[in-house]
Amino acid sequence: MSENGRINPFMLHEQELIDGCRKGDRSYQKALYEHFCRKMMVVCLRYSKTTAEAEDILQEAFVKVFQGIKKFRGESKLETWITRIMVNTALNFQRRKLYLFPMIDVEEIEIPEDEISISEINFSQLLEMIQSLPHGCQIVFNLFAIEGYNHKEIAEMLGISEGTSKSQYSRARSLLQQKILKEASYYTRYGDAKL
Amino acid sequence: METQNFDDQFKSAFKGSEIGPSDEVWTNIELGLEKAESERMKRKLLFFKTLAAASVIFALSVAGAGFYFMKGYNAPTSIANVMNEKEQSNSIGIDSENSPKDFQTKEKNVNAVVPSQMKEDLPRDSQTLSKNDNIAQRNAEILKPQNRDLNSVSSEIQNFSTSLSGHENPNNTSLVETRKGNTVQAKSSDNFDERAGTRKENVFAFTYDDGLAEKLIGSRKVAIDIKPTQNKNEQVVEVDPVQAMMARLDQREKELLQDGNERNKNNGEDLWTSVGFAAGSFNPVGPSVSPNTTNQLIASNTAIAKQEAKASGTAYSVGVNLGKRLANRWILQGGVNYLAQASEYETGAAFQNSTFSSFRPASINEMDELAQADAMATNTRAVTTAPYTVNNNLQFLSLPLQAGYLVVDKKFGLQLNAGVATDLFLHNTKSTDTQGMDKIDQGIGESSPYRSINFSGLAGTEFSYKFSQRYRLSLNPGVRYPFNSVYKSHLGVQSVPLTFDVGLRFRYIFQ
Repeated sequence: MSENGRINPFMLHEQELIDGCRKGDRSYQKALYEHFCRKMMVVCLRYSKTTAEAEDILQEAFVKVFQGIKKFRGESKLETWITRIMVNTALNFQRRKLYLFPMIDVEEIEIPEDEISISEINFSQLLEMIQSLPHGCQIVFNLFAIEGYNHKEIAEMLGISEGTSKSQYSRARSLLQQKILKEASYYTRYGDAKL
Repeated sequence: METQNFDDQFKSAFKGSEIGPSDEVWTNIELGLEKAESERMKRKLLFFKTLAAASVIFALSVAGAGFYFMKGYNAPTSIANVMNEKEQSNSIGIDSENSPKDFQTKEKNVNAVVPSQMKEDLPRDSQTLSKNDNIAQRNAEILKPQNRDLNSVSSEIQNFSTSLSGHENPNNTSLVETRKGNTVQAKSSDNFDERAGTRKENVFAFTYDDGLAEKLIGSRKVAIDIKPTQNKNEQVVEVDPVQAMMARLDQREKELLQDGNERNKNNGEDLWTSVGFAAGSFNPVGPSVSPNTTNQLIASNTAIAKQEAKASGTAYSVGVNLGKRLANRWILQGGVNYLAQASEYETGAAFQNSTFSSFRPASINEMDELAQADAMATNTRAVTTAPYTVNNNLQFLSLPLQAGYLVVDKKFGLQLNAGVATDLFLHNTKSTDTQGMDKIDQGIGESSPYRSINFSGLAGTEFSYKFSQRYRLSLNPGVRYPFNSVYKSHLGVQSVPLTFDVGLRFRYIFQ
């Protein structure tokens, strides 16, 4: 603990943070928040269209984290558990939109065999690309490519068919490849001027 | 392979990436947590309210049902009911002409003969009745049950002597009663027919085994004994059938009352002591801040004072009580309880101490004091701060005195309580988790904004279970409502906390 009474989350063991939060100690809760909020903000941004929307998800998810931390049994890493809560909260947010804009099967898109590299594109641009995807594609791509769920699990989570999940993913990947290629050609033409 | 690479590249790109959210997010999370906490408290409060309301409704229902049935039990004393039964019996009886209604309505004066063979069963007193005794009393004595092991009514009728030994008056309806043990047989004589030399009798049997029963056995014609033998051993008393019935019911009521008293004596629950605790929540009813000339600072900081006045919270009490049974169902109980009320509220003001080295939460009485000090001092000592939470803890010594009515007084007990409590303020503390803020501890007296003595109304129910001869455990949901604001009147701050709590008491019964 620092002189001004604030807890430095990076000086504490994870278990101490958990124990403090379980007691409802606000200073430990803030320490836990400060420890994970930046990483979790990225998770929330991946599932939302705007920063404000991501912050709403982050806020609601952290309230759930503090309310549910008594049930955390340590079977997984704390970060994994918090990430899962973020994703579930984000899905709840997006389900409302998915109800308005239901996912439909799209034709299988031929994925170009050419190897596409994204190494020259920073993660902020990649994030923008993901955010620009249609709702269904954005969620399915996040769940499949980044979180590592399979299509069967995604279908169960979102209440869609496995085929719909696959087609949404294909479409998302195709759209992303097009965006990456477009971005790459822009770099080829103008170099880093855009940045 | 290409697909994996594409996904892995994305995964790697986001791995370890960080973006800071705005500062508002944490503020909103704190608000969200407090909102969730208050909702949880509200749910708890709702639970206690529902429990208290349900128990009161239950108690009232039981009391109402008990009253109804007690009243219903007395209903047989209504002669009309008995008469109706008799009429119904008669309507399907052997001879409808000789209905018992006739002998009830024609004449009030009827005669009864107690045969000598039955005399031994009669109480001694009934054989030595003086002429001055009223009829009802005498009848009660005559009809007092002596022997619970009786032959059935039918056997009584079979053994009933055909000889009529009562006093006869052909112009009057006469009632001849013969008793043996718990059964009284009665014959009403009417329709006297001198020329035919016969008369008709309606025969009744009264039994007292487990309750009152009166049956019309039938009617028959018997020969008139022109010269009835006057047996010197027979005792003749006059019996008014209505009064006889009333007397019989009175007697039965007395017996029941006596049984009840004996049962209560056996229970031995006349004096007891109990220890217990109670927990619940309180909500101020109509909190308000009304400015007057002496509390300008409070008036100018109405919002701050209001936050404190309208704060709801939890209440608990522990204490000992003494109870005494005053009457069959009425009890009086009192005791000494330690009562604590804790609440949380948000404020945006603080006071600096004299050396300006630390701060403490704003207090209503300090606002009042500062309002009376010079303006400069006021400006230098009261400061506005970012909102922070204050924990306010009040402690009282409460002396309750309650009257109780025992709706159910058995192994399982149900009791309704109401009374008043004298609440003596002990002290209060105001603390906060905010760093650099001191704790306030205010005792009784001028430095405190709270009344030293207040009175509260108490109402509640007590569900109890007697699990041994000397011990009883009870659950006590109840409400407490102070008659006055907990704050001193000159401060102009009104806050009357309505408390719902549920207590658990362990009672020791003195022998």
